[in-house]
Amino acid sequence: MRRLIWGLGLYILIGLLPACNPQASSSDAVRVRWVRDPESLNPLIIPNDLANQAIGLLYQNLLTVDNQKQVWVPWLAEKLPAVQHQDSLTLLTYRLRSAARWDNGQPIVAQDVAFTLKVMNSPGLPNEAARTRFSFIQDVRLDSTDARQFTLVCRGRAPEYVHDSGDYPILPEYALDPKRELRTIPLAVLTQPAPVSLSQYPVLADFVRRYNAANLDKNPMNLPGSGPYQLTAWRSGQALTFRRKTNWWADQLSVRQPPLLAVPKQIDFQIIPDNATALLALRRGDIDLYPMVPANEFDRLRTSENGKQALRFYTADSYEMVLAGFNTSRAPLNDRLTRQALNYLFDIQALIKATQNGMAYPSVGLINPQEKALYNDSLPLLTFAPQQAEVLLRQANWARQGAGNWTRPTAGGQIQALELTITYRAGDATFETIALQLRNAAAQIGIPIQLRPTESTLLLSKLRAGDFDIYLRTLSGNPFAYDFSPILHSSSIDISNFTRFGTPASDKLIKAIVREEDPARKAQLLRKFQVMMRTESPIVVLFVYRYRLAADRRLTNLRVSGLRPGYDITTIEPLPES
Amino acid sequence: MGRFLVYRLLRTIPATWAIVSLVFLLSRTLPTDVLLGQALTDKGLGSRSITAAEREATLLRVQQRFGLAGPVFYFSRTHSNTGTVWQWNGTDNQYHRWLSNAVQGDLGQSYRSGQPVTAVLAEALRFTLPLTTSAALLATLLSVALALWLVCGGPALLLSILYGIDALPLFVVALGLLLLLANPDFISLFPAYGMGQQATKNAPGTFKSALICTIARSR
Repeated sequence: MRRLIWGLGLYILIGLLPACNPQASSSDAVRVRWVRDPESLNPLIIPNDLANQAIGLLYQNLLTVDNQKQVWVPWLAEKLPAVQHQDSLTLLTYRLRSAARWDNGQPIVAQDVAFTLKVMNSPGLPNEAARTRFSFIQDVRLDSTDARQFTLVCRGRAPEYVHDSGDYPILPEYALDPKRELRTIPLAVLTQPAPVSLSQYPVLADFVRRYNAANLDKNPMNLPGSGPYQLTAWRSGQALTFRRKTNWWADQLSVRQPPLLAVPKQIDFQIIPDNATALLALRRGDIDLYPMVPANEFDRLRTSENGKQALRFYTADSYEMVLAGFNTSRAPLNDRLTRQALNYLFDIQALIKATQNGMAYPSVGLINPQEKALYNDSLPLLTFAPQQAEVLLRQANWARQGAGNWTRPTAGGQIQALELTITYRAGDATFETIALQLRNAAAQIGIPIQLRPTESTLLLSKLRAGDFDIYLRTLSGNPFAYDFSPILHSSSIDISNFTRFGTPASDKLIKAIVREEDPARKAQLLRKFQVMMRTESPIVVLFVYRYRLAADRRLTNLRVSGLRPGYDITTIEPLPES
Repeated sequence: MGRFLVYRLLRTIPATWAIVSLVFLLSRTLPTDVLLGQALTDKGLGSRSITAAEREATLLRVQQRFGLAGPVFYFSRTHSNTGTVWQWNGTDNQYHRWLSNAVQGDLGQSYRSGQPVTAVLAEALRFTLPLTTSAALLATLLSVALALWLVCGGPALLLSILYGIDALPLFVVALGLLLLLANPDFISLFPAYGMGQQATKNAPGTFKSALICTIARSR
């Protein structure tokens, strides 16, 4: 018996000894919490925000966003493209930086851009999303006198083409097509709507085989990009390590500022799905940076003595909003007065306090209040006013019955009851709180609302099919583009316009906003759009998140911003440990 | 005995085939829209809109790449003006391709990461197997030792404590262990997550090092 206990004790001791060592940390590494594995780092796929952040360390686009200044800036390109219009075409002329080099020392030239566009349009590759997103680029014209200059030929015209046309990672031709065989196939052949058969082009078929065999999903280093980092380790579901290149091309430049700055020698993304564990890891010093901290934890940490001593806390007004949408295609929400009435049942200030501890801000509509020139501040913010809701319901012909419920006669002589459901992603505490608040407020004035928490895949198909009354969801905006057609144009019904809203006037206004190039006139149209959306109320913006970030005190120059991921990993300077 | 075992094993084959076939066919009834990824859904505002035709064409290309286009089974049913028509699809169907690959050991590829399913399984088993076997071994040794101790007159309070732990939901035990043994305010003995940063370099010792917390959390 005693031997058994000794043996057991020894086993546990052997197990514990190595664990007593604190986690190793290299002082030149910046360790960031990631909530999940990026799954694939294939530059053609970019399945999520995390993959996007990682791919930005390995590859470079022609243009990128300076998150802090919130403007598009040239990255591999010398400057933003020169725009020319020719009939129904838009011509965008770019010139690549003369210093830009691949890892093997070869300059990055226009042929690499043409190669990338061919890869993005080739059949048999995982490029469906990229191909669709950049389908407006029809052809590329190379400059015969300047290897670094080229013109993208784009179908139609839209102000967004200027930056959209440069927003994809440029791939090295030498690594995947050393014999330059793809140069024999014009880009225009691949971008035509009718699919190209690989059997017609044996050269292309060979290339597709080579690309797929490179297994870039897990081994992006088989296709070395021009970015400042190399992926040195990827333990699935655990961590990714990026090491700074010692001879990155931008190091030779005399003036170095973002996005051509890469300070940390090593970046470790530690995958910790659970928030409580991530918090513990931050407090133990196992990670240096915890982005998107939940509101409660952020406040608790910010007020604790240990937290104040070891960490710095940042918030930034984001463009990510929580909104409620109404199904405008079916009774009882197919009239605007009923929808307006429901707007007054959301207690937005209380919701901001309850779900975000006050770290969010309201907005009159889809335009962010940070965009002062475009935001319609003449519109009042929505207030919690059930009495006002009742007034509007009566105007919409609803009558309160003896039992407290609301009914109205329909055109067919039948009686319609005001009973609703609210659909949202199951398991999301913020949505649950909002749904409960709405249900309680509605119940007070006699409107029964049933909660329908739904699994996310099912939710998407239900929303697309219009099988709901009210939905809750988050939507990411940005300060660059104002095309509302995916969510509010009648042509997007059954695709992504879940509210199924769309009147001839709203469709016309949305298209006018997209086409308008003059900033003053665009602002005017956008202000008009906000008024129209308040009147029609297909959606109501409840609040916009403030991003919350906690970081080790020794990290400086995080360039915290309201655009994802909320900080600039490449500019962070870790101070030496004292 | 040997014949009995072989007989029992052979009997599981049809059951396994029926279950995996059912799972396969059920999985094919799920919407494939998610495969389009976030690029084509509408999480972002202000991005360029796509037409219904573009969306359909993209979805078809995704389905073709993943082998999800074409008939699912040997026969299918179509509805037309003349009524329901049954159609024989021959061996050119998704189920036939999947089954013939599966019996050769090719379980297909992950839609998310593009990796072979066998590789994904192997990677997970690399951690699952040592953790579960160590946990089972430790649990057995500990339970035998504690049982003997109690029989030989160990403290009765111990039994009450063990009953108490058994009654608690596992996630509470896991969270309690995490906050107790990986907390800088209490006992910072274990790594808070994963296998520890040193872990991959000296693998054998580290499985034990993270054992208790990881097992507790993984359950």
